[in-house]
Amino acid sequence: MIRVSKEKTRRLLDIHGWSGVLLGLALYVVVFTGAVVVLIHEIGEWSVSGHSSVNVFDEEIDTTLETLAADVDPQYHEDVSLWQGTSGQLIVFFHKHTKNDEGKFAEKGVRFILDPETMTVVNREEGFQDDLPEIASGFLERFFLDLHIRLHAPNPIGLYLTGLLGLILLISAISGFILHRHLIKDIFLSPRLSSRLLNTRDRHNLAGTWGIIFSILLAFTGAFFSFASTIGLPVIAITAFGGDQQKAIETVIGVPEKEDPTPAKFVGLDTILKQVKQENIAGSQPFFVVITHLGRADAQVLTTHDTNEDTMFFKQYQFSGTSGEFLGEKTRLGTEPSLSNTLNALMGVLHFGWFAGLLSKIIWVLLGLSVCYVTLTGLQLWVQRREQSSLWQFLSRFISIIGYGTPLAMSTATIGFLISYANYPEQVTEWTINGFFIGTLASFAIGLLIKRAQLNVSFQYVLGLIVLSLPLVRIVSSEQSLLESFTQGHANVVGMDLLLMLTGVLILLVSTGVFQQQLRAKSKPQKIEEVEIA
Amino acid sequence: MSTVATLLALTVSLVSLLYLRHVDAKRRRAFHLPVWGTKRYSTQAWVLCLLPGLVLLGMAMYAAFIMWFAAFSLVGWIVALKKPVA
Repeated sequence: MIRVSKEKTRRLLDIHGWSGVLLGLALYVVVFTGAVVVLIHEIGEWSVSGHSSVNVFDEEIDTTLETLAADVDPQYHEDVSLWQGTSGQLIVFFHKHTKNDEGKFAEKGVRFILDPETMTVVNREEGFQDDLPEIASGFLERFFLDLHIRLHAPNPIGLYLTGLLGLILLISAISGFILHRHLIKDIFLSPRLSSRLLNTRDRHNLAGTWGIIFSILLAFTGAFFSFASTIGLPVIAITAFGGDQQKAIETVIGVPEKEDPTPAKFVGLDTILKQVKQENIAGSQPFFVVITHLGRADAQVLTTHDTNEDTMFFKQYQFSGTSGEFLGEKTRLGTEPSLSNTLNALMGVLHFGWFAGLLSKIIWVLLGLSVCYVTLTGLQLWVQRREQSSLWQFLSRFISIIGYGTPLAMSTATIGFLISYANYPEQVTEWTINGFFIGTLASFAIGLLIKRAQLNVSFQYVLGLIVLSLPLVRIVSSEQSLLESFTQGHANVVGMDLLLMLTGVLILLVSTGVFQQQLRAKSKPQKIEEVEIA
Repeated sequence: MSTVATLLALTVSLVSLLYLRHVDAKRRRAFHLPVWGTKRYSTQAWVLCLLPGLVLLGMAMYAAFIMWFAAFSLVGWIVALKKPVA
């Protein structure tokens, strides 16, 4: 409990309330999409009804790589990235770093998409990476990620915006902590039912109190990721390196190896991939591989490995590209293990929740949803306190429109993706975006046309049906039943189908009001003590 | 291993939180439950509640510690959310 004067309390309440009211709904969109994005790899695999069971880094790929390298301009041998796409295709991007039309450094080169089973090229595209056509199978993942990271606004505006929203969450959490005078006393106080206002306040306070530490952590790490590259590095460069951004990058990331353009034969990826799988190195397959300076004496290979149940951080290992010699583990910051490197990695762990298998992801999804709950109940509290104002009562509709509209639009975007991916894969971009807009328009139509008293129930009914339809649309469009997915070992597909069915049924049950009836039947609201509302 | 350790740690914390909720004075007063007549072991229960986190840290199970720490806030919220049966 922090004692503050009445005047300061009033000011803090203004900051807490107005910051929430002005940007709370945008914050909700970012946090909700963040909660969904925790499961983005599972969603991606589900959206294409499971990827190929072939792990491309288990196969011998040297011959294929040599053929591809011979097919591209040698200037693009500067960097070669290899990864397995959402549907299991091997993607190989030969590129160099050069200035684009806007004078900014970007990756330009040739991108191949290969069938993982036959290793034949199914697509070849050349140009700047940002201008290349979307890879159809991964578009839904990309769409949701961009929605969370930058609200689909152009860079760097989108990053500034989400970073600012992170700071708003931070301010709200800290001011809420100071404002809540009975933080410890009320920590087990179940929301009382004696009045709607008191109930909303209790629900907001209780969820906010328990989630305060993680709200602060998620807000801080989110703002860090938004601002680190857009503002952080230039500021460090100006303040600590006299404006020399290159020197700042070299200090933070590490000085690049001395260049040696002498032609030399590449040792091959197969040898390196066999090595890295050994227990004394990574003990696992990489999910991303980069070859720098292919065909030169200074060639290097960098493999990136996912976390597993007992490791918290992504790991990177370096190898010589000419001898295949293991050069050691690569740190993300600097050249040697350091506290700043660990703290930087910890930021990722605390923000994404991708560090210890499924359990950590489930916890992070629920944490994200709990922050959404705090945001929405805070906004509800604000408008309920202004029940006499017709303007605020009209604006309160937007809480429902955005609150239900965000998952609704994401669901209709998913339907657009599923249908177009199965029938017109070249049009997934258009139909995913169209689907999102259809959901958004439907939300505004429901929110503005339906009577206030039936608004939330109507939204719950529509959302429940749409979420419930998602597994059915996937099954029909992909012609792969739940049983077939199960027998083919697509655990993520089966898991996502069941999760969506359960979520849809739960939302429909909520729309019937059965939970509220039960709650009221079990309680004795007439006897509950009324406490003054702060 | 970290999943099992996290779940075990959460179970211990959950039991402690249930006890703390049951004896919580403000909750009992607000919902007109009888005053808790016997001695409250609130401090000991809070120690027991947070002890699994310290044990996980002591055993250098950092992934399990972070999961426990994050899930603790969710478990606490859910425990507190439930209304006393009339």
